[in-house]
Amino acid sequence: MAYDTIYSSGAALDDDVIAQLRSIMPDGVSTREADRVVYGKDYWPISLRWLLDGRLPALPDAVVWPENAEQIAKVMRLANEHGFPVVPYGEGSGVVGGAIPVKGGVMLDMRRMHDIVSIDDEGLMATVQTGINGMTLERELNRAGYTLGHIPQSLYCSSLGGWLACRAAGQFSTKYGKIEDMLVSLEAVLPDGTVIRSRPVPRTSTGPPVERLMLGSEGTLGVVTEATLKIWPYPERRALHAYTFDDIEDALEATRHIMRKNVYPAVMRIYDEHETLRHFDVKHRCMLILVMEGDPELVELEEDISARICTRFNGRDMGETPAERWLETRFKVKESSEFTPRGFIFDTVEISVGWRQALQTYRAIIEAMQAVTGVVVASGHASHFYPQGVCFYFTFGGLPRKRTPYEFYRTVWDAIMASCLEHGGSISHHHGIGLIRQKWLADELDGRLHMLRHIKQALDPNHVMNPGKMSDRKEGDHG
Amino acid sequence: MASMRKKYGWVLDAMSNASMATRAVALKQFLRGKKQYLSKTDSHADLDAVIKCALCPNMCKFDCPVLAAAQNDATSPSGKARLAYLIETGRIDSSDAVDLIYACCNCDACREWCPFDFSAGDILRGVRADLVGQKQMPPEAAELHQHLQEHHVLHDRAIRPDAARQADVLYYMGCEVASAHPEIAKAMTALLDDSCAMLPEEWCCGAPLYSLGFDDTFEEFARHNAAALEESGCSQLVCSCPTCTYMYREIYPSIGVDLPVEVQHSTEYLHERVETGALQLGSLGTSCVYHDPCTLARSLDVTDAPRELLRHIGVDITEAYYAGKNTGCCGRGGSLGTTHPDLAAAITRQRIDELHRANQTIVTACPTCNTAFTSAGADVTDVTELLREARERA
Repeated sequence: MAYDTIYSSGAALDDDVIAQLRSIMPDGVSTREADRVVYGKDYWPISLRWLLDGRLPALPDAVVWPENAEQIAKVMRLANEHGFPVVPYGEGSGVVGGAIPVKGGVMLDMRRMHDIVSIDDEGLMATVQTGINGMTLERELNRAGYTLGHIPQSLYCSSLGGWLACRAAGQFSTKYGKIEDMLVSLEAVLPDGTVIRSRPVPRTSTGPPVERLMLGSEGTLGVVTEATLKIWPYPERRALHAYTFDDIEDALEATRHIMRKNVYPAVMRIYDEHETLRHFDVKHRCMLILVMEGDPELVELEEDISARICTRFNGRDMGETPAERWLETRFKVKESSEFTPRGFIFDTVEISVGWRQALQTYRAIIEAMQAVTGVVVASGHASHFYPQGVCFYFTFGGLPRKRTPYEFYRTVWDAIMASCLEHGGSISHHHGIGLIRQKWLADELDGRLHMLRHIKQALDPNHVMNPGKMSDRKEGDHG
Repeated sequence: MASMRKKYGWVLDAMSNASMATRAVALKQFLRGKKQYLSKTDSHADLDAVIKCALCPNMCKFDCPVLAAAQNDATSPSGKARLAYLIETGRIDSSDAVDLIYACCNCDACREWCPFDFSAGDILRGVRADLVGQKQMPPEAAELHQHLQEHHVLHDRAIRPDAARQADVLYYMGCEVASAHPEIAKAMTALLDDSCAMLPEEWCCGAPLYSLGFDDTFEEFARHNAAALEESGCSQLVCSCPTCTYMYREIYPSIGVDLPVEVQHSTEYLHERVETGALQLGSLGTSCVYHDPCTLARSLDVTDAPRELLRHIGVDITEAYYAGKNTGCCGRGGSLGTTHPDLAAAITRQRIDELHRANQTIVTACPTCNTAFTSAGADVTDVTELLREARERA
């Protein structure tokens, strides 16, 4: 092979193990190089630059395609017996390196488990296998007259399992909640092969909801195989609005007051001046996009209340057009394809912070990015809102100049992470930890990291599930 | 330049906070940075497009019928582009991935979702041409190429026009009609009152050669067909097959083979004749689901004409959920039925299941889709056949 691997080029599984995997999944095991090349990565932006330079993040030893929880349980028991890593894989759209098989092993592609098992109209719940693609799920729900309301930008290229594994959030989350809010119950395979199931009931008081440890575990504590999710009747009406503000402070205040009124637009997004120019071609203003949907009378009420509040904070009514534009272009992801081949390093970083620190955190992180030599673009928007605070989503782009691409990338990330923690924020709102945030996990979790390690040790004593993630601070040489 | 400024003006604005030195380097990189990755000059592949697709998060993958059937990310559009990049740059041995580079049904569903307006089929075509140049194509593709070179048609003909006739309209059957669906040709000629010309020795339009990467042979076929059409003296070419239509109308001119005739698909031509009153039809009073052939709906943008024709003859259309430009592939596009018959059959089954949710009677306007569905046991009729039946009731 004429390429390098940044992490592992495989854990050297012997033929006997491969044969045993084939006996579990006669039709579902591949060791061919082309498959391993495609599965040895996710959508971590720095790895795109590596690809162009002929460097692959990692190679697994094999890719397997289980068809049911029992097969996964058998794979896990085999992994414990022989000590090889197992990395669950949904659609590979994660942006922090979470699915990269850094120690080789077996990629567990969940896509064959993609059925919508049942839809409960009375209880507004759908039971779904987790290998299903997000857009496929949403389209089939729409066809049946419902929506899940989970519409991340990765909708077209991500899976339900991936959403659960990294605690994802969608563009319509302010109304419908994040994936953990949508989850009613789940089935999962634990690292030792035990299959657990919780009950599809609205709430229980039966001790800590231990099954929820799977949420955000990024494949390190188990594999979620099936989930029962809340669904909603497809909205009868959708209203689009846009306002511009003199500055981001006014825009943030307007949204904070909308939240205080207990009004939850499905979509609220504030773009800073740079991003308002970029996305809407409007100079020196900050754009607020609002999308309300649901029952027509409730939507009208939300429109009225939001309009009054936006006016109070000097918002200028821009009509529907900017929101229509956002709806039309929200899945047109071009930047990495356009700028990576030109030598630019791009990424997006999301954090969350309470309202009291929100504005100063936004400003501090923008300054921190700009202070790194080589940074060309440093901008941000707010995209998920709560009565308690907000998620900021930053974009940086630049040129490494006298550093390696990874050194530049790492430096900007570190600047953002440090600034976020200094202002009391959380280092991730919904992309997760993966590889890039590991270094900062201890600073955020503090004593909870100790607890997490105990849980990991109890559930996965042989560290077979997605090893090298969540609690390992060491980094390899990334060149 | 003005469009560049509009498109990338935000970058200039964002750069206002960067140092002069950074801005200077950024501008230089922006204008020239790509060259280091596009230095290969002897390639048929559009490496810029390959790279853009390989670096995309795979935003079209949910609608890729090949991925849905193969259930392997290596068959996804961006997965194949990634492999194509590594092959084109000599990083991986193409023999390990060659079947994946040919695992595409050219349905263009991906183009509907692509911010660059790419389709995997277009991107892979150049890569395949490079593989052909290295004699690395799959054996099935090599055999098909040899067969076409020897016989000039895909399959043995079941129907042959008696002799050349001079007429303004030349009806071109295409390989699939000539071999597997003579009833479509009979219906078409009957609708034209047997007044159309036909080529006594039709050659394949060359679509399989084009999509599989046999560029030189394709050009030979295109030039032969152009000469045959010119010799026929016709002013209008009507095809039963959407892919033939697309080849003659769009692809021949793109390689410098211009045709001195107007090219239409049969449904476009017959729709015009109905609109002008030249074709009188009765009513059938049946119902069906209409399957949009990918090339007709997406490449030729023809979705209304067949539906209007069907409604005109009293056929009640029960629409499939995925219809029009959101149609699903029959599985046989891009010669997938030749290179990957099992995969093609799986895609066919997916589409039949989807169509049957709407109606058990499938009507389409593509002989290749017709063959795919019929081979899987479905009840399929061509729009032309129904029109002929309606003509008899007029």
